[in-house]
Amino acid sequence: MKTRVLALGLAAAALAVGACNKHEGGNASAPEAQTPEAKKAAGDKTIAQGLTQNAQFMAAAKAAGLDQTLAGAGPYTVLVPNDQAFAAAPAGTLDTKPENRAQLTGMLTNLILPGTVLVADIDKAVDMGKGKASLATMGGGTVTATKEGGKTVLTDAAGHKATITEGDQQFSNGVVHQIDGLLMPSKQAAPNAPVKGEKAG
Amino acid sequence: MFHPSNGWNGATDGPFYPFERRQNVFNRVILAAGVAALAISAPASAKPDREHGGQSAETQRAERPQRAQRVERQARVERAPRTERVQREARVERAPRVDRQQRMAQAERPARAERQQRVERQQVARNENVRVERQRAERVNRVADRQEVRDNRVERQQVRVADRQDIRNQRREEAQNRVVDRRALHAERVDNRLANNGVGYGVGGCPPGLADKGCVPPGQQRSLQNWARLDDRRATRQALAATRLAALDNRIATQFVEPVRVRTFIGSPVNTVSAYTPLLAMPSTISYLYPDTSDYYYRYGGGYVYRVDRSDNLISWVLPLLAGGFMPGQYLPSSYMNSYMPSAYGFNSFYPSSYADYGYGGYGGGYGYNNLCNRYANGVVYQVDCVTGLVQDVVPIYAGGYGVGQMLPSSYGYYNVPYQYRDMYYNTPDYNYWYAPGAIYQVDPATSMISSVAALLTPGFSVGQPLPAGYNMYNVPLAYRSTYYDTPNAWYRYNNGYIYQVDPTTQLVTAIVASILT
Repeated sequence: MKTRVLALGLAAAALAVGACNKHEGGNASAPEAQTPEAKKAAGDKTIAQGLTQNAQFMAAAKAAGLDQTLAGAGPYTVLVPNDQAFAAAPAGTLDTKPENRAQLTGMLTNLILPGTVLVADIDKAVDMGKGKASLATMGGGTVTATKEGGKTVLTDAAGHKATITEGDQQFSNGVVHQIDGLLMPSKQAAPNAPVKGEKAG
Repeated sequence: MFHPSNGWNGATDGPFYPFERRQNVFNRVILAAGVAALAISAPASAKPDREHGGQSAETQRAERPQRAQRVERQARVERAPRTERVQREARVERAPRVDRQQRMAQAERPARAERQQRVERQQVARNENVRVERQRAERVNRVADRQEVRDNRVERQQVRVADRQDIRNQRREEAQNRVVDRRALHAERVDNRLANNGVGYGVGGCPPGLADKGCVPPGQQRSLQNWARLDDRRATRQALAATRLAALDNRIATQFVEPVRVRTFIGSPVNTVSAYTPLLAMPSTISYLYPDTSDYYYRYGGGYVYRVDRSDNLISWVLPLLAGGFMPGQYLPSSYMNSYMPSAYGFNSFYPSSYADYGYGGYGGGYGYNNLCNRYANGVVYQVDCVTGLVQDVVPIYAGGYGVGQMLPSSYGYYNVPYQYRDMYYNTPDYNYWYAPGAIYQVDPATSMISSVAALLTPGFSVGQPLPAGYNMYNVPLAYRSTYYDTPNAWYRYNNGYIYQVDPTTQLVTAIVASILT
């Protein structure tokens, strides 16, 4: 009887350990890249490790399956809204239910830029662009950078603004700029879309 | 000296002229002996003529010439065996020598035979040695020949393998060249059309009345449409049969319920769905994306995820797991035909509403884009027949929300991760990796569901194109900044694993200068 209880206990423990290993995105530990090679390319201190795990941004990233992405090779430049910005956003913006995943993914990819872009690089581009610069995002759209009161301000297609409050947090696979607002992607339709489409057969 | 009169030819004295002198002596002796013999033999010879013994002296005188003739005849007769006698004497004289020689010969015969045998034995032994040597040499030659044949065979095999490899490389290169040529030709034709503002078939347009009908007479157009529809259905059926979906059809998780029927499931009890398709708990790989709560739980089956309210067991929400619920071979609903790719995702230039708008020609003039239109819904681009709405292909767009927790569409049945990422993201028994616009996905092979995103990718640069909007900012990784920094003559920009060089004046991408992932 004791042996059976012990065996059951061991099996349960093994199951729990296995489940923990399998659900990397589900626990509070820092996520890791999917393969050893990707881990090596990402370096020792990744963006995913550097961000606060309990923050709203990481919760959203996990819901969109992006937490391991930020532990990968990159490099990425991540604009991380603080928790106050998420709290101030319209209701449902940070809803992590599956039915909200499309909106969540669109928002997050609009906050990630390709490559390593330091604040100085943004400012230089603003200077070259006579006061503003367009920054490409991984979502395929752009955000506009300007300088206001000596600070770098980013604006989305809808006019929402976010100021870089703490920039140039450098990691082995990119850089993080903390911002104080959310930047949403454009929902504009394709400019060449006809007014009326053909009927399906 | 030879003289005919002295020769034995025609000579009466005998055949041997060296005996000429002795012959005269012999003649005399023989003559005397003949006379003596005649004297002795006269009485005897007279016997037969005894009745004539008492004849007269005259008769005897008369008979004298006859006797002389007889003597002469006798002498001649006796002379004849002389040769024989001489020969006999000579033989008698020679006989002892011949005998001695014969005796000696007889005495020597055994020794000679033995010697002969020894010689023969030696000869045989020598012949045997020669034969053995020859056989050995032949054997060595045969071994050498065989080795040479083997070497030749190996060499030929290596040559054949090398040839085959060459042919394979050549074919691959030709295929790549064909693709490049086709693209170049296509681009050239598009440019021509755009430059000449042509409409319909060929550059230069068609009769004005037919211009708005695709330059095809109405009857012919209907016929073409019917044939095209049949061809499309056949092609899509074949394409579907060849995809990963075909293999998955027998699995519970990937038997698909018609989208029209699925809509009726919302608000129905969960056992209504169970009647159509078995429902399962979410796989462990993606269960974190569908977390159960005290209010509801998730089940999946028939190609959809269902959220079930715990209080009444009614289905409150449905999410298509694959291709937004519409797959190649199905018809997109008419409401979807008015939905287009948003420009915000940066992919609208890749997936225009209609290729005809980009100068690819109308019906029948599309160079592989025959009547193809792009429609977008729920993070998925549907490539459909513009007229019938038949889905030809499905392209998920990650930024549009498609991907994690869902399935990749059927057209992603092969390993397609970009080369610069292949060392990092390769298929294993536990996970597969697929690229779709915007991301490299990690896929659970057991359930075919996307469990996470491995890397985010942009639409990408290509050498020769203008620098895309939003890349005026310097974004080279820190480790490469000491080498690749902006100057008045060259800019450097990072994109999808590569560092590109850009001409600041023309704003054209001029080269790839570094690959940071490989």
